Amino acid sequence: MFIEAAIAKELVSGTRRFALDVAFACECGVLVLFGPSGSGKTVTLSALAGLTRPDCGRIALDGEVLYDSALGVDVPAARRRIGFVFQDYALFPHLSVAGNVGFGLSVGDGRLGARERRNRVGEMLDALELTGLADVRPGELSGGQRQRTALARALAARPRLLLLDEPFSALDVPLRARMREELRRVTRQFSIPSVLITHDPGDVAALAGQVVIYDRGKAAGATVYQPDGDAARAAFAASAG
Amino acid sequence: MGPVFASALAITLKVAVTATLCSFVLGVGLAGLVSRRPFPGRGLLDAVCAMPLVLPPTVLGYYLLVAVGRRGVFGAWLLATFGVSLTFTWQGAALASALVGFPLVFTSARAAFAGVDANMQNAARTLGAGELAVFFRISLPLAWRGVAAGTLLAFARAMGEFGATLMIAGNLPGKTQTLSLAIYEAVQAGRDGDAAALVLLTTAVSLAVLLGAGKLAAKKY
Repeated sequence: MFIEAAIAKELVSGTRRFALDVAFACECGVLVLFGPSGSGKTVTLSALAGLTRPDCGRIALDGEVLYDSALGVDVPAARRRIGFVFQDYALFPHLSVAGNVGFGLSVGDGRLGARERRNRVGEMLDALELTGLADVRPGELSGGQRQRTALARALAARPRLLLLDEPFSALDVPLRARMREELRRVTRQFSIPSVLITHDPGDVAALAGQVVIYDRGKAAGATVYQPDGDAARAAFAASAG
Repeated sequence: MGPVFASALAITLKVAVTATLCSFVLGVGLAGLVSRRPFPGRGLLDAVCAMPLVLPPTVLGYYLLVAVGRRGVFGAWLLATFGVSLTFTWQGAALASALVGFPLVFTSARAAFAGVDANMQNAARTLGAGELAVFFRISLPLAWRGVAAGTLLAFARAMGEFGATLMIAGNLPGKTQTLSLAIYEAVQAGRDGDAAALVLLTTAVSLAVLLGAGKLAAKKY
């Protein structure tokens, strides 16, 4: 999928100002937004999903304009067909795992009949090894199960792009490695491009096709990730020091 | 005394249920709208909506007379157009109780909606849910305990409304005389036994409602 994003937004909270000004365009399977906390990665992801409106700029997927301040285009989040896995997963606590996974199939343009919905939910639960947990509430799930439920919920609605905000930060180290593998498998199985945020160089090494490096609200261009001569690691060292 | 006693209870329940329904729909709807995003004047609107909690019921009754009394701004129009007047009717009493109960629903619903994680609503949006679906499928269920507790309090408050009701609906036995009005009349007339029975009944109903509200507020996922 060809992603174009050129957005600017100023955020003010109290006396602190933060200016985001980023531009990148790339043909991506997996695109990683990499940089330290507070460098504007989440705002970018949120703008891609349509949850935050930039001050100005343009966002397009495969040439289809989702946001363009000059043209006055701003497609609402509900119509963008972009899946989002939140950092804390944002599972609906009042719904079962099956209710969460089926939510996108019961609202708006993606609404399915009861039988089709049940089939699709069953399919997704199998794909993410959640079979048997259909009737469990999110509050009773382990960290890994929560993440898989969030993934299943996002993928069930058949989005054209999947966004993941720090997908592994809430997991301990052994689980993190397993979930990276899992994410790779699932995105390949559903052949869905993804954009994910991380400040962990290990995630970049394990997942990245392309990397956009963030530094204090600025990022320009996507670079192809290379294990040696590693732009990401250099940037990480710079930002850590 | 039997029939008056029974009719006072019936009128009280009729008034309180009608008033609570009105407070619920208005309070939850308005709280849902106001909670969506900050806008200029939101603080003022919050304050105005909470005002009936603070104002003496007689002041509210006075405002109601100015608004819907026979010579009131809206009341004169009602009378001229439909031949309807709310003064000295149980509907007028329900209106008074709704006005008094509304801020209880509004303020608890407002706090409950504010406590809903914005990411829940955003997650629903990215899954294709429009704003109405977000409200009814996510915000309202997640805020439900606060909303229900506020509604029960509004019901309890409507059960005991006195001042505003007296001003707009009067105290007509069998027509607008609620339990609290009947108690006042019984005491005035020196019928101490009746007053005590009515007081005990009102106390029992109110206690039951408050226990229910407490239970709802304590439940967790």
